[in-house]
Amino acid sequence: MITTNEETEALIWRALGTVLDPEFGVGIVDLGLIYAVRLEDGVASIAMTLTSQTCPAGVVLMEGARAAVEGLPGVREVCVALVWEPAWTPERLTAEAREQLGWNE
Amino acid sequence: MVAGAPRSPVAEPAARRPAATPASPMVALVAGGRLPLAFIALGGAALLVAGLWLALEPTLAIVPHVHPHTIGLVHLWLPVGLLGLCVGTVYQMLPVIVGVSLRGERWAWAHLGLHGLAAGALPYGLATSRFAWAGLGGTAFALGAGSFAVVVWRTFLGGRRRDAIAWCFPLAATWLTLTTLAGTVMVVNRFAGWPGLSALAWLRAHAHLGLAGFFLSLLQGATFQLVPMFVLGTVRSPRRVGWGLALGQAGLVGLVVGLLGAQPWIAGGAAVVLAGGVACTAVELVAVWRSRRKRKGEPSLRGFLLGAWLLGGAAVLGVALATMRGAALFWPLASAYGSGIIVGALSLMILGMLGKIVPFLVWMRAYGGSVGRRTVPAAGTLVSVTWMHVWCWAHGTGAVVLTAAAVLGAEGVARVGAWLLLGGLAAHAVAMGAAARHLWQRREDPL
Repeated sequence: MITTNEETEALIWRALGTVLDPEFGVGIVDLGLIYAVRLEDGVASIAMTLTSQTCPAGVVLMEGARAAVEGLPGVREVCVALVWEPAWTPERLTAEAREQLGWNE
Repeated sequence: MVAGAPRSPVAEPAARRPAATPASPMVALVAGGRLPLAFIALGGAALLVAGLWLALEPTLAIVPHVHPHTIGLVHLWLPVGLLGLCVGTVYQMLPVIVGVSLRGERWAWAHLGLHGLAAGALPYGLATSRFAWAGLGGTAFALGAGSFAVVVWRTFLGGRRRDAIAWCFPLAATWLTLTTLAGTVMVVNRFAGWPGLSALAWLRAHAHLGLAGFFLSLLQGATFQLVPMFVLGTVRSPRRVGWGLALGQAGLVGLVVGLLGAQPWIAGGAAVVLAGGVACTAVELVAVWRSRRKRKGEPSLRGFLLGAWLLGGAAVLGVALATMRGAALFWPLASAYGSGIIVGALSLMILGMLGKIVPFLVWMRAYGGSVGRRTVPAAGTLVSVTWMHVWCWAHGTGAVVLTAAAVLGAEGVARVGAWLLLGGLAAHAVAMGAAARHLWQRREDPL
């Protein structure tokens, strides 16, 4: 299957959305943990963060993000970088995530 | 931006910002989760047996706490049961919090073996006055506590984090060692008969070293790591967390001095300081709870909060008891104090938090490697909400009824409370067992 860069990046975002935070059952995209996705020459670079610097599921989520994207058409290699700036805040939750958590503010 | 981008309001500007310096490596599951879960299983089994014992002998909740069976039951409940649950959690939590791997995993496994040996020998020996067995169990327990302290301090010193949340672990481990030392002094004194050494004073000091030194210290720190994480809340005042822990430590030192020296006014003043520490912790816990974004309540956390309220009440009662001597109400209130703290406050708080921790540990071991490759259940779905509701209701009610029975000296009331409590403990065990089943029967689907 041959895809354009845009189509592949869309696939990447969708794949990342299937990775769920174990505690909240909300996807890491809806949680606002994915800061950036870039595709260049088949190399997918993903910048992500965690809800806290001591998140015990951090390793699992990073590996999960990598596993979800590997093997996608147009992706030859995956690099996942963990960053802490800007710091994650609950304001990054999408509307769907807020509804799922019962946060209606 | 490309199609399929997230709908977060800040995603687009963040996506154009270059990534900052990558974070340092994170700590994974300690020993694949086997070590923490083994301690938790041992502690949980001990607690269930202790609950059954109390249901069969409910008068232990209302007789003076120096009764041998009461001492045996308390040692099964506290240092074997609740401590086992806490130790398993600490071995997993501490490396994550300070950001380094557990230092001395072999010592931790040795601790498990020693704890298992102590589990059988210590309560049995104390309850039946078979001091050879008590000595064997006590020695095994002391060696285990010593290895625990070494592992905790080595891991803590290997990291850089030095706030109250990190400090609570080595402080709790140190108090546990002192608790064991006090117990050893009491045992030796039984044979040596040192003049001027009051067995009752040492018993009370030993009890508070364990209750306030280990359990309270741990809760005053670890609470502010776990609760914000589980409810998507924030610690509003790290300084208040620090003050809570510091006042608790200072109060405990004075309390032990006052108890050992039979100085009620020193003990009472120190109890006020300790209660002040509990108050600081309570205020911050309320602030964290109010800041939560996850508004849907869970029975685990409700049980934890109920336990926290009971702890506050017990702290106030403790102040009164510290200065009360010879009063007719002393012994019933002392029994109520013990019930309220042990089967009420501490048990509710620890079991409540385990309702979140156990499913998470099981999830990490059973499903962690499949994330991103297969559809896996969320950790929160591994435990039955219904059974946890039953636990929260039965355990909470049972603890309150038992405490009332202690004040009234009513055996019938104590029997009702004890069976309610056992029902609650059994419900919690069923819920945890159902979660643990995922270790052998996974529920995965293709993506």
